[in-house]
Amino acid sequence: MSEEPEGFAQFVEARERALQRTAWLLTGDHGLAEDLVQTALVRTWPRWDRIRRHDDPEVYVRRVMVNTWATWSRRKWRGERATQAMPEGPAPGDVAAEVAVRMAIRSALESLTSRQRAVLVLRVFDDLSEVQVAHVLDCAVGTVKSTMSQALAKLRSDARVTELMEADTR
Amino acid sequence: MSQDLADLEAKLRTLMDIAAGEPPSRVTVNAVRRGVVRRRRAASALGVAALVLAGGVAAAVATQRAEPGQRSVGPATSGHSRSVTLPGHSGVPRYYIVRSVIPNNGSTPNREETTVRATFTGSALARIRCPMSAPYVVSWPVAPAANQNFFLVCQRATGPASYDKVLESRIFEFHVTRSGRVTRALPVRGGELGRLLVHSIAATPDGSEVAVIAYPGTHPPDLHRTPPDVIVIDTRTGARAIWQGAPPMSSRTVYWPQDISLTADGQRLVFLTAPQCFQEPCTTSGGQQMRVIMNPASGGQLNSAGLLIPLDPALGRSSAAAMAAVISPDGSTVTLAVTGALPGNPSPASVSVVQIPASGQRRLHFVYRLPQADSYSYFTADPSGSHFLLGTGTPSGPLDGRIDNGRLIPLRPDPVRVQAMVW
Repeated sequence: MSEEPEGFAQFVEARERALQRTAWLLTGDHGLAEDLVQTALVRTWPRWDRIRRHDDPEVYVRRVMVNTWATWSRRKWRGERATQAMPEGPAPGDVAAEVAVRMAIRSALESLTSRQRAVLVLRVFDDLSEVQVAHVLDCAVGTVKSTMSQALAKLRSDARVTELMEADTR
Repeated sequence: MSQDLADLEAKLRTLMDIAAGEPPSRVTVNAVRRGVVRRRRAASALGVAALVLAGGVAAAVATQRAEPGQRSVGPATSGHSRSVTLPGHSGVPRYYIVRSVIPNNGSTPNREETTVRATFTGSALARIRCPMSAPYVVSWPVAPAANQNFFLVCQRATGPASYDKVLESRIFEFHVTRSGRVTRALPVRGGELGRLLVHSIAATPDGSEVAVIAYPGTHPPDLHRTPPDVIVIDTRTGARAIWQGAPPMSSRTVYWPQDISLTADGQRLVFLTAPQCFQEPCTTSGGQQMRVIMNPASGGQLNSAGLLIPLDPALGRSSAAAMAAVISPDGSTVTLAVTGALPGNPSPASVSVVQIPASGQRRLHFVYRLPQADSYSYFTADPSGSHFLLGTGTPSGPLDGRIDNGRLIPLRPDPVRVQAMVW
């Protein structure tokens, strides 16, 4: 049986939900998000002690998540299928607003490339610095900046997201 | 960073925060530990296989060098190669989908649910829910496609009973992930079936074609007198073809489908039928048959389907009745679940699973036989057509399981509650 590395359980307990939220933004699906977090943690486990000594474990796990998701996205069987709109109508009350936001964000994120999505989620949602994002994605800081700018431009042209942002201002 | 950009990012962060919601805590250290162990075992088995392969190659090279000019005869093998089995290569599907009844304690009606379970541990991993907002939604039937993709029929009704009217039927597709979780159900193109009551569903392994047996759902159908239609859907374009069941008219034999399946190329739809004559005289009659529709995407009349196998001679003119039938993906074999006496399983109270060539040769191959059975409930095959699930019953109680080398390996949950299973 595998010996549990020191501090791993505490990390999972404390950060699992936050990781799942990031994973949902990357995948747009709760089942896949859970799978992605679990896979990333399984891959992190054997290197945990070294990571704790030399790196920020959370940044490392996020890097594994982004890379794993990039690999999964490239697989043919996961290729996105063109489908009709989900039949979920907005429910009454606050839930309706939440569902509308979720659907708009999910569809906006799906319109981005995996790299753009990863940069946006890590930079905006996880609040990592450009240097940290570059470290996670193993690319230059300049690439992070240009990718981020492309992603924001794409989102600005999304009518549903723009409408939600304007409603937020009002 | 400009103020505009900072403002945009802040708004976006707020929206993403709302969208991501508060997920339930489902990833645990124990699950991660199990994943680590699985990964290590797979890696070590792969290492052993690589060593064996390298050893084999080295031996072959050594043989070539030791005997220059001579041709090597047969493949070079090492003494250990036969004992190496890679985990996960047995081909048995890792997960199965179960429709089961959750009994309540008298005051409220029983609840039904559809769940994903692990084949080798039986543990329940996920519940399948239809994305429909209503109290009376049935998440069944389900058809498997390759790579753990499944097609699910969601049927919304006016009430919980089988005689309640269907308000809406729709086909969805979902995926069971490598760790047994379920992705969100996506509507299938062309999968809106209005108020039809869907009886069964079949899919090609690549999921490009789906076929359903459907009845009018606007009134409780009498399945013995209502002609069903078979609807074939191209899931890539949403195009639908309807194969209409002939109405029960006098002097006419009708061929209504009991069970349907598709070949991998989607070019043949095969169905099990018992020819019916509602008022004599009918031109043809006889026992059960397998009939075939070539090019099912064209649509037409079910009565015009060609005869594939007359089952009476194929089953040795016995009193047995075929309850379900599946064509193999390449179209070469039909596998049948049969109740009653057969040559090779003479007990009249028996359940057998037999294979016959689609060419109609009278050669029965027994996949499984249960001599003392007192009920039959379902039979399904995986997308490869080589692994089967069977629900039956013995005098000591119901028996649900997978067929493995002529044995029925019981699968969870408690069989009393199981309605059907697929994988």
